[in-house]
Amino acid sequence: MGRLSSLIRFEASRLLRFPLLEIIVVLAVFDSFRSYMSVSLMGVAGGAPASLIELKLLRMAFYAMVHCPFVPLVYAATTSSIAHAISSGLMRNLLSFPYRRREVFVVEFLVAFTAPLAIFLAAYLLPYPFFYPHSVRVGPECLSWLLAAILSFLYVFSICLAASLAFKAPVPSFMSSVSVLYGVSFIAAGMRRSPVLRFIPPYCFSDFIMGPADVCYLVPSSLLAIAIIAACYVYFTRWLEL
Amino acid sequence: MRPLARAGLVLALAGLAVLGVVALKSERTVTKVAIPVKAGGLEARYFYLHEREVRVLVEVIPSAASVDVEVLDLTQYLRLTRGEPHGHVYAIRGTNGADFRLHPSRGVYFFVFRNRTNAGILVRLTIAAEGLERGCLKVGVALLVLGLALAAVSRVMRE
Repeated sequence: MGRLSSLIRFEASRLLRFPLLEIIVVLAVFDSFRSYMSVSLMGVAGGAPASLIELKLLRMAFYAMVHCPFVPLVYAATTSSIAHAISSGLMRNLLSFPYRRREVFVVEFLVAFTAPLAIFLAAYLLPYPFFYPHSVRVGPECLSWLLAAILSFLYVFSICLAASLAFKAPVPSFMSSVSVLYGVSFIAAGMRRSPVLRFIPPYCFSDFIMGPADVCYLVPSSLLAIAIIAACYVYFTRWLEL
Repeated sequence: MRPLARAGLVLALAGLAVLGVVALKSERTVTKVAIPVKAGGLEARYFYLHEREVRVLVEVIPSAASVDVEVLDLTQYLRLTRGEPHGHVYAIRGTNGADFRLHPSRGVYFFVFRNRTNAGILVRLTIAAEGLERGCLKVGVALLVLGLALAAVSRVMRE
């Protein structure tokens, strides 16, 4: 366990090196405050008790998180540093230590996926009591929105990870991840009226958060993300030549 | 870079990001709604207001009619719905138009219109917010100062 924790520390310090951590924090805080300060919440008071108003604001925070334009950039940058480790020979050196390939993969996944996710969650949820200074009730619907936000981040991460392992070089990996993710977003935005859109990320996640989309619309994108990560795991542990 | 200095840098940059958003979002925003109020009835609308200077315009149509206007915060509105005595942020009785300024804290406010006449009326409500968001400005400055202080402490400790 101590062996793995030292690997986690090493990978965390490498992936979040200066100035990557600073850039992630600035982008997350900027977009969080921008979305909170853009809130235009109004309605008929008779039909909306206080708890509904409170949940509307929280729902908007999760919606803004799913649609944050900086998330693809952040994950492309963190995963391109995995590609950099492969191309520079650092990964070969790392695997010459008594670490199994699957341990290295799991640690890379844990650090590269959860660190930006944690920063974005903190940036969006910590200011919530500041912007809604009334009592807050957390119900099961909030957990479902949180799950949708995490799945949307997982989808973005899976595409970036696949690109980094496919290209094994930081610049092509970064460019291809960003192109694919923004390309899908632009294409999806162009077909806003189509019923197929409810299955395409990021709209499948945001429509689930804002309603009326059902949980079944999340399934294809989530399964795709899990399948891509599983394929990356198999490739990294069995076939990747260093 | 030392952890303390790095934490200071991160906080200071987060503070600058908040200040940047405050500056970007300082433009005037206007919300207009038309609210029909039945004879002898009461209508309430809620609005989320930021900590900026807010100007409120109320016009009553027809202009010969009059309406009671109350602006309540969430606690006061909940008291009103329970039929308990409640205070108000702003109130004016029997007016056919009003133009007033609010300096709200951040949160949800309720605009309550009571029509005591025998005919239905239409209330045209305009809410214009302008200026810097004072609370966010304080947060940005606090983060910046805290970050710089941490960086300074780290430098002193190193020396």
